[in-house]
Amino acid sequence: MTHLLVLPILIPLGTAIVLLLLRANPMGRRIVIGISGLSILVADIVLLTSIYQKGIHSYQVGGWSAPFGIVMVGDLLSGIMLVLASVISLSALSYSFGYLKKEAQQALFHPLFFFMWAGTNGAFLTGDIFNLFVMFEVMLMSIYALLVMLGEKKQIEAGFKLISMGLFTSALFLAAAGGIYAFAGTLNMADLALKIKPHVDHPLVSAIAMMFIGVFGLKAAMMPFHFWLPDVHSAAPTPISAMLSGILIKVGVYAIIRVFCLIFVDLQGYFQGFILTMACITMFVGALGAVAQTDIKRLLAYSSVSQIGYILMGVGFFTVGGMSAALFYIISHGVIKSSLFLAAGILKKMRGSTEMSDHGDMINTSPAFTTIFFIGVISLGGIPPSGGFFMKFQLIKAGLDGAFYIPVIVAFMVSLMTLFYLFRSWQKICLSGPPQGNPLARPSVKLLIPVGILAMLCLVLGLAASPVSGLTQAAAEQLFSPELYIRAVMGAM
Amino acid sequence: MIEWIHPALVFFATAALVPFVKGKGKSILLIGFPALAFFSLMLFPDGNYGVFTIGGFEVVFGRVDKLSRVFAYVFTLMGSVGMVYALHVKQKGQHIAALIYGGGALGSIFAGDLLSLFVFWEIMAFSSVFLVWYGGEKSWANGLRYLMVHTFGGLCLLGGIVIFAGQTGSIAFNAIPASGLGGWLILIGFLINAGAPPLHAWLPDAYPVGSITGTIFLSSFTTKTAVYVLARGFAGTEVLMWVGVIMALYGVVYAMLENNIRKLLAYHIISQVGFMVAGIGVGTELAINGAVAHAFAHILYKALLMMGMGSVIFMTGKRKGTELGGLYRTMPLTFGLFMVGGFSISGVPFLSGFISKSMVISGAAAAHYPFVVLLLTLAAAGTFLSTTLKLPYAVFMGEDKGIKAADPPGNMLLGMGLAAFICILLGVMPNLLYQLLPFPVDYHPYTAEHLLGSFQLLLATLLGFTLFLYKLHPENTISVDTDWVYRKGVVWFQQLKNPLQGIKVLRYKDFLQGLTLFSRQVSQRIQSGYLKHALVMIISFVMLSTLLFSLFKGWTLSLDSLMQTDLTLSQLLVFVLIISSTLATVLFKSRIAAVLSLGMTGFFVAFFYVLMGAPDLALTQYLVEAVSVILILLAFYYLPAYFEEKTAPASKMTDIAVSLLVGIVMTFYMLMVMDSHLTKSIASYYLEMSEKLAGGRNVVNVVIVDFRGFDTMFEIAVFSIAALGIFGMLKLNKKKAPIQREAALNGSLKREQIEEAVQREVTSK
Repeated sequence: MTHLLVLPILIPLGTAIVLLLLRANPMGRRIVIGISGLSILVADIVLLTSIYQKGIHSYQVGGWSAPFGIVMVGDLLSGIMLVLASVISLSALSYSFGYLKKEAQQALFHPLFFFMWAGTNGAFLTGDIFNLFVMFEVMLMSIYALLVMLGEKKQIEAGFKLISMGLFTSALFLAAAGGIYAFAGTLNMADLALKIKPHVDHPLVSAIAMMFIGVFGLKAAMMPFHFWLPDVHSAAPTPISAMLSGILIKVGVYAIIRVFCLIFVDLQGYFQGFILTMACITMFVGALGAVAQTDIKRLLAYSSVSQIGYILMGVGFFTVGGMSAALFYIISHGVIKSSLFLAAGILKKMRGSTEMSDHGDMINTSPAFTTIFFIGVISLGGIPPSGGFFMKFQLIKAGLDGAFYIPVIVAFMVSLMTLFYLFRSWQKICLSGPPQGNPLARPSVKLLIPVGILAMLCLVLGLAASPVSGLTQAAAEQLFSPELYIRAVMGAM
Repeated sequence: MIEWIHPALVFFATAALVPFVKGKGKSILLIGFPALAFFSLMLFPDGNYGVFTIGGFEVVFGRVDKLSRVFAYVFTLMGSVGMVYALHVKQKGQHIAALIYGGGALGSIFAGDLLSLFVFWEIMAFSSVFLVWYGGEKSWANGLRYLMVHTFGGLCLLGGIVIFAGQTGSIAFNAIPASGLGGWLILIGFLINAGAPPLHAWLPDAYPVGSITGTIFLSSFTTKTAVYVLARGFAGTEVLMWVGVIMALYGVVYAMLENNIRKLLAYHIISQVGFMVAGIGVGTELAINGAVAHAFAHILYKALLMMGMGSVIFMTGKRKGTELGGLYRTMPLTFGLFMVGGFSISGVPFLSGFISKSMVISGAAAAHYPFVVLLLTLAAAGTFLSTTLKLPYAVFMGEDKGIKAADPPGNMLLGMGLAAFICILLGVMPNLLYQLLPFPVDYHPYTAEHLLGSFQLLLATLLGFTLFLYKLHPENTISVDTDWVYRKGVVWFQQLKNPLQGIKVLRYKDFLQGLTLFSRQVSQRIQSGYLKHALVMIISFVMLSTLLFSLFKGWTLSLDSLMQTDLTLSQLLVFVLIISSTLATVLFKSRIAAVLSLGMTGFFVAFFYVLMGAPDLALTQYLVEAVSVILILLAFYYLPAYFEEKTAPASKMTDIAVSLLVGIVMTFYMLMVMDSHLTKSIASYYLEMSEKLAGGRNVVNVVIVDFRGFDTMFEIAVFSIAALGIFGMLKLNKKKAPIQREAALNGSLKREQIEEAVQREVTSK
């Protein structure tokens, strides 16, 4: 049995502990962060290729066989999410060295970051519903700690919101997990799928499925569970904002996909109208929020809400095409939005504010920044030849193929609004005359490099869309054959 | 041997090189490369180049045939000429934008499939907007509106393509039937770029405010690319004929009323494109040939006119006809060259406009559309009147306003000279153009009939103008009745125009501002910023939808399991105690008392476990309760003992309603869970195997540390993370403590109480 499958969880967990021990040794910490960060990326890529070649992997933690112990399962969906997480995490990490100036902050920030990474990877890999709960707790608590660590009023307030809503959904998750255990007598997701299949029309199953949508919807910032997101994303330290929008809200979407493509496969039709409606409302309300903002970080945060609507729409089609488009969307939105957040952080570093009215004339101050920001804007706006175009194109194509006309029309309208708020902010920050007050300093190259790399990735995703969409297509096909997953976990039955 | 060089690629490559060159090298690069692209077009025979398969679709980047080739010729030619005119411009960004824009246009021309067409289409929109924005800060709002309209058009196009491809299974770009949602959406997308009313507003809105050199490119590429795609996809669609006629007249009418010199020309673009669209709508070989030839000629003379007016603005800084006048003395060369363009657009024989415009009209005549012929002839007369007579009269002749000016720099004159030369060349040697046209040409413009006809028309218009002009001078004495007609006519016309434009501009411009305001209001309503508000929404939403989704699946209340339970007296007593201590927690005003009674609830729950025969669980529960009560008490030691929450009765009602909702739904849920143990649980495995396999008798402990040890490891991690967070909060931010506490209390205390608390802390230190 290969232990490859638990490496993406155990390496960050171990690194976090080692980093805590190296509190007084900045150089040592840097080396450890570099080595383990890269090795997580390598492990994730090796895992993804191995899944691609050999099919779904599963690993029984502690050697306890399937329904009784905890299993880790890696299918293509998990693999893709892991690689995406490590790409974004590495950029955010390298950015954090230039962003957090104080050693004392870094000494605490990095261990917490790795804890968060371990939780995220754990959520992507676990095949056990209660273990998913635990991984969610790890993530929630790390975000909370990273927020209050900076300890300003804004962060504390945002943290308080996050933790109150988070605790409510944790309680809900426990109730749902307890209910499903009482009902089916097992916590293993593959086993649950088998046990629930004959009783899918039982009202309890629908109640539990709805509770799961609530729990995961809060993580994903689906309307009306999005209230925490604008505050938290804008108050968090920038590398964390990038992680939150880039990958952590996608964990919620991942979990929705996972339960609805495995445990509640036969309820897809029952919940389709609901999910699509919520997706449309989320798209629209998020975009409205973004249009109203004057603060670039809040604007990006609302935009994330809106984009989550798009992703949920792709999921809600419940077709291979829609799922593949949603996965492609997750990837490119992750890259684009984290690059935009990191760019906003550069603005914050330059003038200590993220209000757009405090900025201007970046085109003369830093052409590099202007270009990078522009790439982000056209990508998120869905303009070819960026990756953003293919993400929207596939989604809309999937919608039309499935004859979901109303969501497609909403998506059209919202993408016009998206372009409007993005271009307006770009115009304000980059083109308008120099702002009042101190002359502009040039942004530090240290911060520009990781942002630039992500921006390049946006373009690469556009130019090399077909291999990536080939991968998401394969992942989507795998998701719609849940028996593959069940067989990989439970063995031949 | 290279199979084919895509001219768009040449443009893009030039754009990429521009930042690295200076001086002479820049000039050579800017003019030479587009020229190189022009000549490269002659080298390669017709055929499909650059064919790839992307995502199961065949994408053709280079479809070379006569139709695409003729457009490419004029685009590359215009690229070179326009660059000559723009050489003096210092901002490299303008050059880059123009080159990418030209590349986008060429890419659209050669696209053999709808997907790559769309990609280049969008590249065009997003590069050209910069040419508008380089017009200075005043142009930004216009540029943004320009962008929004084009994005809307792009989305229509994309939607149409997707539907069309879904229906036909192919994305090849050939004739598209104007039927079905897909075809119509594509047509609308094309027509937006062509500037067809009522979707034309972007054109006169954005072009006049664009940069002087940028407007040259703007007026050349976007609308003509639209003409190309219409000719390719919708030739012979009758509706286009009427759209074209309306455009031709509409543009002329507005041009006549316009005072801003570049806006006047912008309206003329609409009018001239109308001729082409009408030709395409007629759809015969002659008419299509005419449309294409007209596009070719129009690009050059309209650029020439734009360059002339651009030079005037460049040299004088004035944009309005009424502010200008008498410039023929100071800008003689500009005047001369401008008139070449003016005569061309009016279709004066021996100039390029004549050989193409008459072809369109003859095409309509040959296809027996007399009404179309009449209206287009009328539009042609109007064109002559406004562009060739009114505009130059106002700017170059007319009353000398004593404006100091001179002819523009050499490169601008050279650019205009080149364009004028080509206009004359084509007029004199029409076969140069005719041999490029998509269909074999059997048309001779210089027949006596044609010549006579156009001279007649031109002379009649000229006559009209001199009469009209007569009235323009206020110092001239004029007869009262004519004056009345004229004045009333103008006033009426202006009234007609103003409300029309007022409404249009209001809707178009204010839409975006309105959107922003609306968003702000809606968002504030939804996102009030109050945690309680958010929680109320989240909780009630989840609870209600959970209830509804289980009701729809046919859930009915069943109390069977509840009835079957034997309740002993001691159990009942414990229940009563649990409920009363919970109520006490809510009702106590003292913090300490509230925490203590919350602890009591926990202890009673532990007691319940004892009654149910699970002493180890009771012990755990007891320990957890004790520790947490002590911790909370320690935390509250620093807070005032009493608290009072002021809430409006309405808000209290909401609280009660939400609490009841949660209570009821969760109770129902629990009843449902108790009723439905359907399958055998894995719990029996743990009971059997705990001692045998894991070597421990306490099954719960074995599950925690062995069977599910992985969970426990991460739960410990959660605790450590929480501890780290608190550590960080205290350690990294020592000075800010009072503010934090204020935030943590979240406004539930009275102001004095907070101050008192802070005071107490200060004194205790």
